Amino acid sequence: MKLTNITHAYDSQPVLQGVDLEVKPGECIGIIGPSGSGKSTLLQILGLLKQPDAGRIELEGKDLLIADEEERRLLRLNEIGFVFQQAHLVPYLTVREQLELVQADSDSKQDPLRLLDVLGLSHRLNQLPQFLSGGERQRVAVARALVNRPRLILADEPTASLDFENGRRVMELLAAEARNHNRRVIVITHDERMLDVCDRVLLLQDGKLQPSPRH
Amino acid sequence: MYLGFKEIWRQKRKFSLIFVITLLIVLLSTLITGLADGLAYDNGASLRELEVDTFHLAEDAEGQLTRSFIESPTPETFTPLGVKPMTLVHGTKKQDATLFTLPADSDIGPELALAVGEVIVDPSFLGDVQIGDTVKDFATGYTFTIVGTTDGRYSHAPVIWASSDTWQAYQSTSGQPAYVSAWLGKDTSSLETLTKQQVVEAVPGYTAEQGTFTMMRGFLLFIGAFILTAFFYMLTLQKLPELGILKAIGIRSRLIGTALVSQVMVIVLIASILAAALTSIVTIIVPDGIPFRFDIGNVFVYSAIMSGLSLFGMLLPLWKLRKLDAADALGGIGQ
Repeated sequence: MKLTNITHAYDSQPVLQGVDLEVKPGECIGIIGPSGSGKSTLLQILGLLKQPDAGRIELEGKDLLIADEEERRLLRLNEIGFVFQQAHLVPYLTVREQLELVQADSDSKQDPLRLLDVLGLSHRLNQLPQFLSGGERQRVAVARALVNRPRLILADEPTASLDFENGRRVMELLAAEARNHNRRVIVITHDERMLDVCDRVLLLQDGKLQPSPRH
Repeated sequence: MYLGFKEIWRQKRKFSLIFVITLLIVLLSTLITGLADGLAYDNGASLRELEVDTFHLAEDAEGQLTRSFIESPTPETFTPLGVKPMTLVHGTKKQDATLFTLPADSDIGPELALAVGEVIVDPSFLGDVQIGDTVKDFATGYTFTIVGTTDGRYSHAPVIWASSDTWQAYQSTSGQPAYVSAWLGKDTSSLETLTKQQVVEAVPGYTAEQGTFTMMRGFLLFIGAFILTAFFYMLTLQKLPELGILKAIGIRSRLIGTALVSQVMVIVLIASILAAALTSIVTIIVPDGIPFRFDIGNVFVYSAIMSGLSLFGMLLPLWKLRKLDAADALGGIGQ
């Protein structure tokens, strides 16, 4: 995956000013940066939720920014997995149904039960989110992001609502997904204790990405 | 669609509240309409039941049968109708009723093969008097013998039916010139020609009464529909972040929209069926003194209005979803 010269501005206030990034299969990248530096904007652009003002995003040779709305939706469903700061599960669906909902419209043949078993949730299959702990909810969110076997996983502060232990577990899960299944994982986090699981840590500052001097 | 049903099933408390409000609004609308229709029927049932569409009344009657006095002989092509409100006395009890008469061989109204002085009465007339009793007209002293019953109401009073022979006998004792109230039939005449609906609407108090009910129904529907629209609007607005997340992870908008539409349809449909059932029960248990008529067609109309406006309320915020920015959808994640 390759980002070339991505720029974006809010009300003519530049946020991203020529971001370049290449992510290889199996790589887990951490992105840090001060508040307001454009980390989430970058993740939304990567997740095809926002169009940049200029630049190019390629995934295995295909330019993703020329895709129409329906193509972008299908790419988000099948090729990109999202993990948010909060789990954002559908409150009235059980753990199993959360995954089935995402699978319903996709070609994914992955057995959700096996995935939930790997994530230590097999005993929670028929529970609604309200009966799960914060850590369990976030692991369900990770399972939802993985169930369609996406080639790219984007995580925006996935540990922010968790204690250290649970946060660590989620980060290790994401890193393991990258290594074991050749996926690309990009994690935005403020919690520098979690970054040692990443292969590279980048700093987003002044609208540009650069290697973090402290990692 | 299963998404919508699952949400209803698993969030019963929230949807029960919406369901009860929908049910009450539809029920209230059908009950008010039942009462309005009941009163409308009570005001002119005897006229509505007549197998004729055209009435000819005296020019100066302003469409009111009780003010119409046609002294000319009735041409053969018409059927004479006599209508006379009266107070009838039985012992010390007085009761208001309206005398309706048609020729004994006419098939326009009820079977009137009766002897002179015999009447058949609306069942609501019975109580203090029974079949076989006689009642006396307070004004003229003419005596009627009750020989049977037939449904018929006019101007919220029971109707007593007699043959035209009784009408003539009654008039001969009243000292008034002989007249009939209307000629019935399609032929043209020199009199004022009116449709049955026009004659019903001219019954004293009918238009004012129905106008009041129409206004009540209108306000009820307007306020009820407004409440439901607002309810469903708030419901969708509340779910917007959740729907935004679904959209962000690639769930089809159609799946989300179908879930919302199916929720409205299921709630309004079940509420309407239950409202129809409850209104039917009310029809059975309502006391005899309260005129009430249930028309299933009204339930369909109200359901359609409620469904339409509820859908409008529910789908209105989806315009926002279409343009929803990911940052909004994801619940305020900072940059």
